[in-house]
Amino acid sequence: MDILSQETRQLFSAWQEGLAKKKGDRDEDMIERQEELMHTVEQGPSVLAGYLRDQLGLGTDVSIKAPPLPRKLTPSEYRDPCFQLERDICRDWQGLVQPGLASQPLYWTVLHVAWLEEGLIGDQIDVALLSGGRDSTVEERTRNLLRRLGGLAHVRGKISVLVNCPLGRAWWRGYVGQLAAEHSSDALTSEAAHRVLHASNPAWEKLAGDSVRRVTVNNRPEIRAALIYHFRDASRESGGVDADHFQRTAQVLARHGSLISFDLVPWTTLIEMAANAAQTATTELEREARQREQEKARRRPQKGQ
Amino acid sequence: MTTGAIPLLHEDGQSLDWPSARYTVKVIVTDRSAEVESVLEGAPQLETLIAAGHLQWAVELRCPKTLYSSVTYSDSAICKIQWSPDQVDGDVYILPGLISTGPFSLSGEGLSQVWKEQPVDVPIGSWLVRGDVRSVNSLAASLLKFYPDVSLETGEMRVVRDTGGGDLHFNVYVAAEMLETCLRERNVQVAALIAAFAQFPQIDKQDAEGADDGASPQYPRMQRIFDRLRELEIPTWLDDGDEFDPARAATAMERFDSQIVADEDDD
Repeated sequence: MDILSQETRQLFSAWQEGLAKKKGDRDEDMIERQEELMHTVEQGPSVLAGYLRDQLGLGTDVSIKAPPLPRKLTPSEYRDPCFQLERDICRDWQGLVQPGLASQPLYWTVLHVAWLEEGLIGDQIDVALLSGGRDSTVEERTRNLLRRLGGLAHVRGKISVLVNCPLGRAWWRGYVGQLAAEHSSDALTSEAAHRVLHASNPAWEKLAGDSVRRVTVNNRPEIRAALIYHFRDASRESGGVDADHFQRTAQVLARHGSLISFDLVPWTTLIEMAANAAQTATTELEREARQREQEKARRRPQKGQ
Repeated sequence: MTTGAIPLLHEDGQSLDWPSARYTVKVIVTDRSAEVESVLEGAPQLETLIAAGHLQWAVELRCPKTLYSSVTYSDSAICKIQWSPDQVDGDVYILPGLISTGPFSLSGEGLSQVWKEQPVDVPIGSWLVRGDVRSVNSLAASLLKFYPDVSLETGEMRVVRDTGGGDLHFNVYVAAEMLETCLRERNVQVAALIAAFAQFPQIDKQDAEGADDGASPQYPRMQRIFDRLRELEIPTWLDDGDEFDPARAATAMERFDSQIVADEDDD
């Protein structure tokens, strides 16, 4: 995307860091900038879009070709798209979004400029962008907005764009699901794989976190395919998936990564490995839970003391 | 598939499975591609298995930021790999080695005593030789970004920390007319690298104070540099006393014997 120039990147970093600092940093004018942003949001999507263009140095005549959204989204649809909406988005964006750009908070923020201008984030952008989670202070609402527009990388790291930006998250889940399906020996469709990844936002966050923070074998599409296949019955409608168990199963699978290359392992062997990993994960998590309980009991004051 | 142990020859020399063998790697990086040459010495059994087609050289490519991973195989010890800017962003890593492409049995030849009791069944997809994880970005290329600054005189430079994008890097500002030179001149990049390293003590102190629990900051790049300095037994900015020397640390940080080669002109 040509408009992601070095200058735009610098302006974006400066804009975000001027609105949200890491704990301990001080900025006397930050509150004023946050309040200006809140006031801008209150004035509606076209005003917010203009503000963003100004902050990012995108002139009013700079055209932004954003992939289409299927319709004007309600605030709740925007903040947490249902599975079908995520599928519709991924279908419509096929070939239009590439991971090299989709990993960048600036990219999604620029796309939001176009969607705001087209009215696709709806009229209640204060509810869509500011509300939910922690939202009782100007600081918290500002952070919500920055996360949802594209991610707050300088505070949350590379994971933010994958888990905090709802539309970015939708695309990434669909993309990872598609890759898994392609490496599942036809055992999974991309829809089925995506459904598992959509089943739990916390589970997705743990998987994404492990994937971006380390040079991990977890990013092999075969290992993801086996993992997702093991949890293939999971969906939000059926109660989701236990995030800790999902993460630990992936981690146990990855322990084999120093010894084997997953792309050469037969599919039947992979799913057997995933089943064993899930069992090991259960055992480890139960043991750790017992240890925590024992530790808690040990620290509890004894009667008579 | 058995997940039993397989003897492993590692580039870092820590594994004693192949006591007389040695594995080294040379990497030449060009724009969006790399040539990875594996050199294997003192392991005739592995050489025989390569010649017989039971083993192949492989290079795995990983980009954590885009959740990307791929593997390239080669019958030759020189493996050429490529990656697309559509697939990757930020740091890209390679992991070279030797993989079994079919099941076979290893005899005790060349192996340490512990492996000699009976043949070792090696299933398909097993790593028998592994190289260190390497970034295809030179440290300077991944840590520094050069920009023009009209307020600077020719020959002046300033180095400013930047954490936008979720990881640590430094913006290096130079006079506009110097930019192209600086991008080519290794000595300029090393000077900027030293200036960047000199900021590590302050960065670590600030982020430790700001974190909820005083734990280390979320800068993977800084953590990798720290780990590497420890491996090289060079004082880090977290060590007691005043032993940390940013110049010494920065100039010790070539992680592999590589060259960044500019694309050749078409003429």
